[in-house]
Amino acid sequence: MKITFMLLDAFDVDGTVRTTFTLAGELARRHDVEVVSVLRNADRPVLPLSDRVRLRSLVDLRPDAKVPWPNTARAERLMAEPTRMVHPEERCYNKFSAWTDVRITRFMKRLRTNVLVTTRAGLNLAAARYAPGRVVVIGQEHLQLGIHQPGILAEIKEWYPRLDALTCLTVADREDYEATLPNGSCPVYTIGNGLPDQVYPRSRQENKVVVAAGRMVWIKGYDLLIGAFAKVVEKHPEWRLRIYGQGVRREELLRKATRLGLYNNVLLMEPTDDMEGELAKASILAMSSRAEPFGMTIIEAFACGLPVVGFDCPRGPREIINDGHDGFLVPPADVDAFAETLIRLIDDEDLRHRMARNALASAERFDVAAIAGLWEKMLTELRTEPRRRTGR
Amino acid sequence: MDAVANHCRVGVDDRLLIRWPAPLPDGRRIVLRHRASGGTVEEPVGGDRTSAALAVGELDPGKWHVRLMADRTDVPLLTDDPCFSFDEMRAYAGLPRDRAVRVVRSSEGYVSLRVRRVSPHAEVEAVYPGEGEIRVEGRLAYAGPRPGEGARLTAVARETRRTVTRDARLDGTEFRVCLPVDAFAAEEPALWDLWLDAGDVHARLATRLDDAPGKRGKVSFPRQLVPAGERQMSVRPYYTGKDELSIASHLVPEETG
Repeated sequence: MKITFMLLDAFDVDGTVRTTFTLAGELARRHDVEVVSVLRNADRPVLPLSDRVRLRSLVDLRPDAKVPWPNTARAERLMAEPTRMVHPEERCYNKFSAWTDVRITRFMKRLRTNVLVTTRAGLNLAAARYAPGRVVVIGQEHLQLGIHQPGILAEIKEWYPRLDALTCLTVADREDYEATLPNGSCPVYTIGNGLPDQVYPRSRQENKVVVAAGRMVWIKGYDLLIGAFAKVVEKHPEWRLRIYGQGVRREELLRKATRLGLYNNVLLMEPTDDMEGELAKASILAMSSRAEPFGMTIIEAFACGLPVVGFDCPRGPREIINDGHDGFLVPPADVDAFAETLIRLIDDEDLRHRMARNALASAERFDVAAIAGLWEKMLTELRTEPRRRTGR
Repeated sequence: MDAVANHCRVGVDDRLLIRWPAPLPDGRRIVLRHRASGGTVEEPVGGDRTSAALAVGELDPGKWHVRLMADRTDVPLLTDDPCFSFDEMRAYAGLPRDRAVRVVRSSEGYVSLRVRRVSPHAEVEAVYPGEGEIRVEGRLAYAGPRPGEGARLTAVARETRRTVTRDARLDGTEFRVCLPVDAFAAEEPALWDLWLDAGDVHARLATRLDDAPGKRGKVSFPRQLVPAGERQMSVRPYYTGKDELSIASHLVPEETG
């Protein structure tokens, strides 16, 4: 079957791009798979994409790119005008333009594929409106329902029933979307993100290091983590915390670590292109997020043999971490409990080794081969005649 | 050829030890290939077919690719070993050496060796600025233990070359020193570079064995204020661009308005 994935910007470094590339590469072992990027601003994507997958784009933003005659002047004019198709509350509204409207609708109406997978609200809504009925259209939501503003939510309620199906990352998200969409109008599937098929380095549990990774922003809760680690250091001064990432809170976090006297224990590391390698050098992953739509880092840490201590925040962590088995869930924002849980794992080496083994087994659930299998099962169900009438 | 090694480490004896969880087919060899010169070192996989050991202490500096050879073709050696241990790194640096060999795992899981010329430095493991002092603890790296030798810390002001000297405690390779901040406030505003001297060893204070190069921006130490005449001086340890530990002292700007 021919499967087309549509991304807003496949040349960006972002979780949606990464997981789409991983899934596309795996499905391309058995299917004809292409990725269509609305925008293009580089010759090649930054993130690795399998040779088996074709990549093309609709709007070329590279400096010397030219739209061919007779559309040259029109493209230039429309690129400067705001989109009319995409709701202003779409979180990437500013990346769309009147020209992307033209290109997206034209692409959708002339689709030659069996399955179209769109990867964010703005594209899901466009596909629900314009993709022909013969194409099976899957909308993906990588974010929780609650993040959408009322205006775009009204569009979601109106148009998503015209999708063949919606996928989201967690059971909690599925329940929310099912409750929002008119009864039985659009099937909602939970399919998590897949781990790329590769040799993962495995922690030997030999270094006294707790690791954390992600953007240095409020939602990631690194301020809470550093606070908790100050308590860990009181009991275990030889343990270290390394936080990998970049972001607006970096300076503030550095000041907090200094103020708490943690300059011998906490390092704010630069982002790295080998996060798995750094995870495997550590012994515990700390997931201090205030909210986490899925928690890809947890799964990567599992694959590297790290138990995870995480806040029981909405929503991903509680569906990924099996509390007491491959990690621990701590009441949200409870810094003392987070510190005590880290200390418990640090104190009990046997427990750490046991949970590390369990973590490796837990990672298998998210192997991209298993995830691709779930996609194929869903697509078979949806393509089986008679198909549900979507109104497209 | 897809065998994944589960152990790739260089021991204190400068031997590279590679192990596999299951026996390899007969006739496999390990090849080290020097990136700069193309020169190679070869060693057959041991009789048990699950391990190989190579002497690497005399390898030329630079990067050496580690490859697994069958017949006439060789492929990069894959491992799931993170190839890093703080304790092993510390033990390795505990002996006198003029070159250091380290196993490096690439993001794809391929193994290489990095051979560097080294000279002794004083590896800083902890800095405690506070209560009018800056205490520093660490270990001499690549110099070996210096029993019975007195040790001194010398701070050299980068521009004026003035020095401040304090006795340091040296126990085997472990050192400990306590610097009063007044000593730095009494001089002109300056950047002070720190050295540990023990016998013929003149070792720069630096943190290089913690696998986190580029410490500027990753860590910062608090400043301490010291009266200097009518004004105040701020004295603060910091890492240079080469991860060396120095001390910055400067006059605190007078508050305006």
